[in-house]
Amino acid sequence: MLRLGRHTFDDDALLVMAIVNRTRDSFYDKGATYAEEAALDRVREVVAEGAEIVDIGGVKAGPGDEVTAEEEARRTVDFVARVRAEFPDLVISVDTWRASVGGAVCEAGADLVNDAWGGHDPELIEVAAAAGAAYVCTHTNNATPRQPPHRVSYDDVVAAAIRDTVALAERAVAAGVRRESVLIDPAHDFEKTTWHSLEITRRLDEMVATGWPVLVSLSNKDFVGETLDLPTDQRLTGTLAATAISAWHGARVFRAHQVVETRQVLDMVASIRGVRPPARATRALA
Amino acid sequence: MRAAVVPMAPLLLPGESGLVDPMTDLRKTAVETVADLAEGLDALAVLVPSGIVGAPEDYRRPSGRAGSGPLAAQVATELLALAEVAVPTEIVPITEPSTGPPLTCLEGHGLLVLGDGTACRGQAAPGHLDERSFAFDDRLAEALAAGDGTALAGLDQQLAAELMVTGRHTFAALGRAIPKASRAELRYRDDPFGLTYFVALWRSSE
Repeated sequence: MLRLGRHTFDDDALLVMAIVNRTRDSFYDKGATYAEEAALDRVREVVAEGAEIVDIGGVKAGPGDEVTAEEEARRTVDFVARVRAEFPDLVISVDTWRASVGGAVCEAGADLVNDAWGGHDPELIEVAAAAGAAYVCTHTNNATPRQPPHRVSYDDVVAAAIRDTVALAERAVAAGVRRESVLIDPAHDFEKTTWHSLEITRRLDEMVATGWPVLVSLSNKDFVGETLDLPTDQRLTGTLAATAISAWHGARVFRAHQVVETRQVLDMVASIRGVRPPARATRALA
Repeated sequence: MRAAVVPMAPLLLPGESGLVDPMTDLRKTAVETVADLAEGLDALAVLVPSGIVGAPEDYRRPSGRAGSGPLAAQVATELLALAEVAVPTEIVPITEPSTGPPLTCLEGHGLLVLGDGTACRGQAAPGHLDERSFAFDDRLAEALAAGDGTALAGLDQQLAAELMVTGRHTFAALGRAIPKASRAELRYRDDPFGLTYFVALWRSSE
């Protein structure tokens, strides 16, 4: 069982985590949902499309506008409260690396702290534990938040991702986060070349074999763009291919921009695997 | 004597259609009819087509659920279970139109007759479209509604085979057992997938 704050999910459930950015400069949506009403409309849309989780972010992952902790909190805390009020059954995740923001959003109703910079602020784990929230352990190879990778190298990127995320997961449990509320994320593109992200995808079953539920964040990322030589707005097909492979390897949560397409891929994979009956199977059965 | 006619579609087996159930109404009618058939009887003979197109002798459920043996027998077993019928049943495979058990000797028995109408009623039907299906099914429906066993016994077997009527042998056997029912009800007739399903209940004073 996976417990995300006040919500629980079966072990064979594949969950869509829809990205909702309250940023001006995120790479894919480029500020489209920065305004609070636009962001709320986005939440309504992805919920209608079947997302189980929304991941609300107030700071672009890569380099960009300076966003102070106060400004990040201004973008996210009240917004989380509004989403909580309108959607009691929705899992609310917040993408942050700052403990001060993490504490405030949990108080406002967040269920999950997506620590996208892998424990950079060690107090964030304590905050999640105290709030009874779930926690995502991300592999960033100790990178500084918002710094792009440069000439990174690994002996074995998968082994490194497993070592660091599992260590972080154990730290989270020791800090008081429930064991069934800890996820690990290899963090495609974070401190990784395209080669690394492809290898992580190819060998994702090794991460799954740790027993910790795996979250993947693949959506329209540079490793897809470089692999297919395509700009940001043409990476959906590549994203979905990586989504299917990751789901087949056993990933459980899929952070995504396009909910409908992602849901279809996950349903298809689940049915191929045999854990989800087809929606309507009448062919040759009449 | 009493007899019921029910379809033998795999979709009547619970779970085979996936998350939705396109057969809810048909299954409900069939289960109620099986219950009415069995009411107060000592035993049931289940007439199942076997070894013809659309009536495989050893049907393995594509969903992976357990099941083997004639498709019609599996459908009958499911319907009887859903109807909570506890009387002893004997599965009687009918492989030819003119043969079968000495049905008139089955004193106190009910007949549960498995089989479908034509399978050629549209572009998406199992047998594509054959315009002769419409009149053929109309005649079957009339006979079932009227308790006209003689008409069933005299079915055009050649045409029925061409129209993929899985009930062609079992309906004929029913007709020989009960040439004229004193009361007959046709409770269901539809062709949601291009082949015709019937549910009927016959009672005979003889």
